[in-house]
Amino acid sequence: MERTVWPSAGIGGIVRKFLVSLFGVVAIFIPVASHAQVTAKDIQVAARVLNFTATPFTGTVKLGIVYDPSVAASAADEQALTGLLGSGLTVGSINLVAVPVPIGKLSSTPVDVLFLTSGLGAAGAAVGTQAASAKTLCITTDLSATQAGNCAVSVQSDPKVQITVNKATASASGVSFASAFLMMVTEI
Amino acid sequence: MTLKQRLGLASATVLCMALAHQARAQNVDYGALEQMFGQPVTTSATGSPQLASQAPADMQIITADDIRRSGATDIPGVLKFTAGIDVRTYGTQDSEVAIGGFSQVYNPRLLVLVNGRQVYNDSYGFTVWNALPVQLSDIRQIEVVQGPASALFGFNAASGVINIITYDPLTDKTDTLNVGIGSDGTYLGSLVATAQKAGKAGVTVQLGGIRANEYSGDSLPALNAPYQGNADNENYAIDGRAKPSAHTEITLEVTHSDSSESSQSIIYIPTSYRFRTQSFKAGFSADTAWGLFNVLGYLNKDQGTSSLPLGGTVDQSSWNQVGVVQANDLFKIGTENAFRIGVEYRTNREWDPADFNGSSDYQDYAISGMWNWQITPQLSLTNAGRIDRLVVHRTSPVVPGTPYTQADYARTQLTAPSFNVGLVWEPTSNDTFRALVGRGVQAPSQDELGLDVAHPVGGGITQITAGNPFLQPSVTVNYEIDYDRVLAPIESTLSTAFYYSTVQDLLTASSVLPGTFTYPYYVQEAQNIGNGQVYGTKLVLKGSDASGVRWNIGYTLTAVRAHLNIAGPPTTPYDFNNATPSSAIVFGIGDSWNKFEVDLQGKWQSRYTDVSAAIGGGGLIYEPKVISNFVTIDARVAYNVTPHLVLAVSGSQLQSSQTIVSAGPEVDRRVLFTGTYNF
Repeated sequence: MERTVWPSAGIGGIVRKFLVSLFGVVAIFIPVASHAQVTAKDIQVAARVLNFTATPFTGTVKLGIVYDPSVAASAADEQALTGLLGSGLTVGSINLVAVPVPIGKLSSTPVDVLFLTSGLGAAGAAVGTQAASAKTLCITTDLSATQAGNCAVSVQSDPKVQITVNKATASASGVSFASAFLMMVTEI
Repeated sequence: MTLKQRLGLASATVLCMALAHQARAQNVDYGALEQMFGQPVTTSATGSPQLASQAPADMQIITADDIRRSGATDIPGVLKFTAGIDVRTYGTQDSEVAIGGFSQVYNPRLLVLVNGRQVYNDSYGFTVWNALPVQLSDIRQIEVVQGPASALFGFNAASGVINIITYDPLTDKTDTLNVGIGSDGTYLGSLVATAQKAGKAGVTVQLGGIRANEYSGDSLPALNAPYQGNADNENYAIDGRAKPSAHTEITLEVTHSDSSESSQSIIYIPTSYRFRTQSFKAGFSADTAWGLFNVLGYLNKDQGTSSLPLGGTVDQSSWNQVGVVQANDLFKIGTENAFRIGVEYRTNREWDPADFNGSSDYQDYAISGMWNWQITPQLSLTNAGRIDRLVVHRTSPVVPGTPYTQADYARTQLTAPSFNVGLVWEPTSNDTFRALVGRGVQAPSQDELGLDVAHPVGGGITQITAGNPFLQPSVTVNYEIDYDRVLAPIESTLSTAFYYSTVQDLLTASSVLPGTFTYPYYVQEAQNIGNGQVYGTKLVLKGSDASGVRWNIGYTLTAVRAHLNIAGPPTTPYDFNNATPSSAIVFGIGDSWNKFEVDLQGKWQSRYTDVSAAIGGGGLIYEPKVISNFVTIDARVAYNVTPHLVLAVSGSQLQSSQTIVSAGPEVDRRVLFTGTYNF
């Protein structure tokens, strides 16, 4: 399980270290969940996130699925997502339309939202750069990409829904969210 | 309104306008958040939207599906199958609901709200469930909080809170017509209709009513004559919400209800009771650069009229008016710390030329705050606090013989701090631990603070019933450890809770205790009657599978140890050690297949001791009545004729034609046929 490293400072830091240590010891004895692949439920959650941007998305939304054909995990994600979206997936007031975007053609393919497939590693930095320059929201199921600042939002739906927002990356992408939404997600 | 109040209102208005200008996103949208996270969302734990499973509170959510499948015709009928809730039925439409022990009539320790508006009545500190202006088909969810929650909701959230959340006319379109006919002269109908321009404005109109025979009560003595005839209610509500911009929201609501029922009075004598309510509510919210800002104001006007058979019928009426203005701001600093700051002003007036010799007024001023610290993604600490300052302003003269002076009443001031601390740890996606500590405050009711009435009783003697201006608020402190575990192999969730509560300065109403006699006056007054502790456990297993089968079972252990400074029955009605069933088991099973929906719910509870009162020896004699353990079984079968039309038959108390559940009349088995059209 991923754990964030927290800086310490003063009494708050000592208290935090104590609590983290205390609960960390107990956590050793409890099994952790394994990482899940992108699923239909993931894409449903990702679509719902679009309702909570400062200007909520409505109507047809072109979802740019950024992938690297030479990376198996990324290509598999692209195939799975394209299949899930088909000719268009309606979630609430949004109709998501898949636009496959090979990472080499990132800057030349206009889309409304970027979806970063898993397995791109350091190459995903290009997506962060593109999202910032085009002021475009990026969503992924790869938590490490959000932690690395390559994508603003990470969603996971199994075994339960968890949404992580990289505040700096979202800000650089010109994206802000409703306060109620931010109260319910993990911000980093 | 004083100059200071006018200036305050003007400042608030200017602040609202300024915040609206900087607003940037929408308010809490329960429906969208629930769809995204796949589980109910609540604001009843901290004032901040949270997943119910992650809230720092012992919380259960009763969903719209649960309500529909229960087949119940009122909210206590839904609540009675919820673990940890003790529902006593005294009449067709009269129930008392308690959480965490100290069950009693006119239970003053449970706060009940509809969309954040208090529907709890401050006259005696109780809830007239029959008078709630809400249709079951318009309820999104009922949020049940066990344990003190005064740090968020203020006075009277001492043992728990029930917050009823209706659908949002801005985002939810609810159009339902429901009619029913059943045994024992039962007729009911309700209509909920929504007109909306999605996301811009919406209005929901709901109206409904029910009429049914009172229970036959074969075992009741002639004294209980009020348990005859019908119980009924009629009510409506208009809820309008609009978004003047994409980032701001306005709420306006009007409600009305008129209910009549036979009920158990606060002196445990059956009474015929009519209760009428009106409310007006206005709210404004904006998502600003400084957080999610809300301001809410409402006015409740209640009138209760009771007819007591005390050697001839004694009619009593009282009016209660509550005005509340509250404002709060919810914001984050950094990525780990969320805060809420709030202020509230409350004015409360009780008047009745007879009972209050005029009126009794108080004002309450409160400040509150909440800090949620997300220590790690798996660990959070929430601290919430509130301070209330209650000031009595009584201008009416006291009646001769009252043991207190007008100055005594006028200088009554109470300062009451409350807090909640909750540590929530989710070491895995399947495990949640909670460690909770809370301090809740029950303020004396208007009856307990300000009642002042004289009744000549013959022989030159006058009976004085007086509120006590020197009462202390009752304080509950609760310590609790919870553990929830998702049991994926059996598609269920196990929820456990273990708590210990202390209660100080229990309160009793002015007319309940025996008085003191100094010729020519016999004086009864409200008192703090002692302390107590409660030890409790709750175990709930609830699950469902993809085929539509659902199940639940729950066990509740409640042990009350009261230390009163007064005698118990027959001198007073208080026997708290035995007033709550020590054990209760709820269970349910249901299935949906093809066009059918079938559900059965049951409850077994151990014996407890209720009280009934009789006149004798120059006053009331409280007679303990042991209620043996009993089982309650309700069921519902529904058939979806078309996607819009549902026909259903439901039954309550199916296990027996008559069941003794309280000191009131036996509860009859009843059957109800309903037709629901969703248009």
